[in-house]
Amino acid sequence: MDHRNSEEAALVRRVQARDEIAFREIVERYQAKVFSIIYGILRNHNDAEDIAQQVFSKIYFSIQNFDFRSSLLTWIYKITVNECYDYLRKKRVRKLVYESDFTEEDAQRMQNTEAATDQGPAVDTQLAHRDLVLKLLAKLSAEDRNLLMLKEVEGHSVEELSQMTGMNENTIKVKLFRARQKLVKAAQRLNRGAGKF
Amino acid sequence: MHEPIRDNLEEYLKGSPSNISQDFHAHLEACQDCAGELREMEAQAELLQALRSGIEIEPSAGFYARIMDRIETQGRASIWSLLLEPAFGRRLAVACATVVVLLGTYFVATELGEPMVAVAPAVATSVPSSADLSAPPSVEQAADRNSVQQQRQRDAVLVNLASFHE
Repeated sequence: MDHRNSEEAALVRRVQARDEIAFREIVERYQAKVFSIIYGILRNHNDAEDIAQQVFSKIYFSIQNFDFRSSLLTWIYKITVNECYDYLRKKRVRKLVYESDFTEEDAQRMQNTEAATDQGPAVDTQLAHRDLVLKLLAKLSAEDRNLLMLKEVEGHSVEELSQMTGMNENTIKVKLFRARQKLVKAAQRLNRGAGKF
Repeated sequence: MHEPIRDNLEEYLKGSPSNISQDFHAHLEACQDCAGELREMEAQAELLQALRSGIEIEPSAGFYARIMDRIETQGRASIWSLLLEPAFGRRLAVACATVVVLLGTYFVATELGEPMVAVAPAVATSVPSSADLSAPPSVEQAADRNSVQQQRQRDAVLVNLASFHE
């Protein structure tokens, strides 16, 4: 799919020429999507507003580098997810388990949370799952992470991903397979460090 | 994970049995490693769905204005933050120091041009012999000497720069 000749491409070119009306149109078109992605990761309305502002600010400053190889949505999705992970890294929320500070103690806590949520409310289980999956996704490269999230979280098919990213379907399948394998290995390392959870 | 499973993985996880080849099921029954890895991938695909927002969120009023405020602030700050950034500042300092040293070297070389000429081997070979000097100089010879003089000065600067780098 050619992303250079679409209506969206014309809009991007106007923003690249610093047309503020066009930028406003992009904000209005994608703000709900951006909020939804951020809220899915962080589950916090206040943080979502702040990060969404930062995402659109980044879009404004870096749209000159947008090369039309992928769809605008794919590009915005990547910026949004990266911004969420930057936020998590900076904030270091102790309640939320993520990335390199995941110790054996954290894994033990996760084990206890899992056990506790067996009888507890379903929302706790969901939170524990979300924390775990964020932690595992942090072990992947930004590209692998985005692709896997577009597939499993956003529910896009391989064919759609091919159109969105400009890569052929086989490449998408290979990349998804490798990303899934890395995720399995990250989970296995986690299990080895903490016993079975 | 082996090829029959790998090739049909996305179709299987998507839940499209009609698109999955017979090899897939046959291999899955025979290979415990693949079956185990596939189960883990299935569990993780399900786990990833915990990141689905599930609700439609609209920003509060004035969201666009707040973005533009942020853009303005960051646009203003970015020029100064670039200058204040340690890595950029170091490079700028090194570049300034290099320019100062080169200019200083050039001026010193220009003032002390004659002694510097003596150390340039190319210049030594281009000095005319005493036999040439005995004859009265023609216009062409005078022009040649001017050219040689300029060449000496250039050589002196180059020699000085080269010795500076060493």
